[in-house]
Amino acid sequence: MNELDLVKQLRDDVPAPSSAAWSQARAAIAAAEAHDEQAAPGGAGLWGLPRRRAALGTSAIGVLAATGALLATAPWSSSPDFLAQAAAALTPDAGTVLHESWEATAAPQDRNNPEDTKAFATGPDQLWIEAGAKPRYRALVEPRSYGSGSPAGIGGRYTVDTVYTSESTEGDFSERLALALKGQPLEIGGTLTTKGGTGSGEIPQSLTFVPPDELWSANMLVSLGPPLPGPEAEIDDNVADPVSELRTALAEGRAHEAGTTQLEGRTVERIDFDPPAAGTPTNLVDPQYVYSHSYAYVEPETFHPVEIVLNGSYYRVLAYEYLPATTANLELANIEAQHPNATIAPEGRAPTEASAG
Amino acid sequence: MRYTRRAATRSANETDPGARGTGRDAESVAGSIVESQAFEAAFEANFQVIHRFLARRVGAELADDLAAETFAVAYRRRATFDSQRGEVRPWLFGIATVLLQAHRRRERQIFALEARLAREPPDAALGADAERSAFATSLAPRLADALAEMSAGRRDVLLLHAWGELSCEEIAVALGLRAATVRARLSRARAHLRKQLDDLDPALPRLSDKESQRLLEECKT
Repeated sequence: MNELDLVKQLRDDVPAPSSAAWSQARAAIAAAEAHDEQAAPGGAGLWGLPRRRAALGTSAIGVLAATGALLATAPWSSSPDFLAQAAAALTPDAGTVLHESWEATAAPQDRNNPEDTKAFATGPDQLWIEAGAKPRYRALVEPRSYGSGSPAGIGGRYTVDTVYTSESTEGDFSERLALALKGQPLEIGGTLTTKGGTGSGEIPQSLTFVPPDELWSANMLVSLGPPLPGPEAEIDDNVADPVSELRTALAEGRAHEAGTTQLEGRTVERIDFDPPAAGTPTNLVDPQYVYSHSYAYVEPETFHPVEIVLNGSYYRVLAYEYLPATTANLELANIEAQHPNATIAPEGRAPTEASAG
Repeated sequence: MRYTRRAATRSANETDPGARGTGRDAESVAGSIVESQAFEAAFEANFQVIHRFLARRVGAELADDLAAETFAVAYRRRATFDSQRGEVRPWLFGIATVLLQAHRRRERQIFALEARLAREPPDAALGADAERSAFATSLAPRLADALAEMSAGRRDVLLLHAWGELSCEEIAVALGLRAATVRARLSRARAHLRKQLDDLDPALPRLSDKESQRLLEECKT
């Protein structure tokens, strides 16, 4: 018997719904049906809204993984010039090195729970991605300023969402890594995955630097920012940086220009993420809420991101630039090049220890 | 909060709560875009399961309201359900979970209260089943305490998996999350529980690496 079995036994003796409960539910459905018939006469969509973009939602199958969005040729032929220019400006040329830096203020996990209203700030975090067919990445992530509650991330200290190949690896490795770093920034790197390439046997190896000079390896997915769920919301991606969702939304035609505004004395253009249109197949339960709390501010001239708000979490972009593919710049995206003499330690163990155990 | 077992008088149109939603349920909802009466089959097949899940989380009384609202919302949004992306039951669980968000404070209070309640000792004459039951019952307050401390996101995933019997992929669809995020939350939730229970009962078996891998694979399929 494990902990999951115990949970299954907890409150196992709840009573079946009473006849009154069944009746109450039937009455609620009948009321919805009556409202439906009143609000949507003549075969219109739900609540009388036309299903004008159903085909768009169906064709925009899948949220591209960060890499795919990064390197994709965006099909925005029907989009206004502004969005096309923004999409182009956010798509790095192959052979360049994308450098991003940002600070994040994350929303509380439970906005309805007054005891869980603490937002947390983190950063500045940095990311370098070598644009190419199988790009390398390297990121520097600052530890959180506090660790109350049960925050996600490595050892509860670093805002990095990770998925490991085994549960035993996760609990043990994550904690040992956080302890070994002693509050220093997390430096992590590896190779980006491509869409669909993250099955159980294909989770890539990532390396994390541990002073004085070790690179701890583990097979894990890494996500640096919570991506906005798209119509499919099923993609397991690697290194989803905060800007990746804006790229993806622009590439899929899921964004629109919302005008010029001022952000702390600075003129910026606002881009709003579009929720799935009424009638669009989606299994998101509350897309209106999610998307109404998600938008981006970009520079009017360069279209480079200034601030991105995803489902209530704020990412202030401090740097967004494309570096030429010089040897020095390529090495910025290569964690092994940054630590050429480091010992590779599988899951933080000495190679001999790891092979024996 | 104390729950009492009582004999359930099943109405003629109630279905086996343990049975999984079927493709037929999905067809029923998809078909209800044109023919509203077809929604009835999906309702009959899933109401008891959804109600039971809600009752375990916030109590039977509030579950009556939330289960009714779940199906009313499902009816209003039935045009957005896509049977190609999964069965109707995970979709309904997703709606129910969103509705629960407004009652998380109550849920935490219930867990916290349950954590303080002493349970009746089991009847030793019942043998091995009693021992198993006693094991869970004696740990129940500690489990409730651990669930009360858990973040809402992890608790949702854990209970959809344990009580809703959904796979990680189904939970991802239900909550609009990445499957990777669901796996991470589930894994952390279980690790949190193991940590909370370890000091109470050192004999609680820990999962071997092989067992962990098997469970993870089960979760993925």
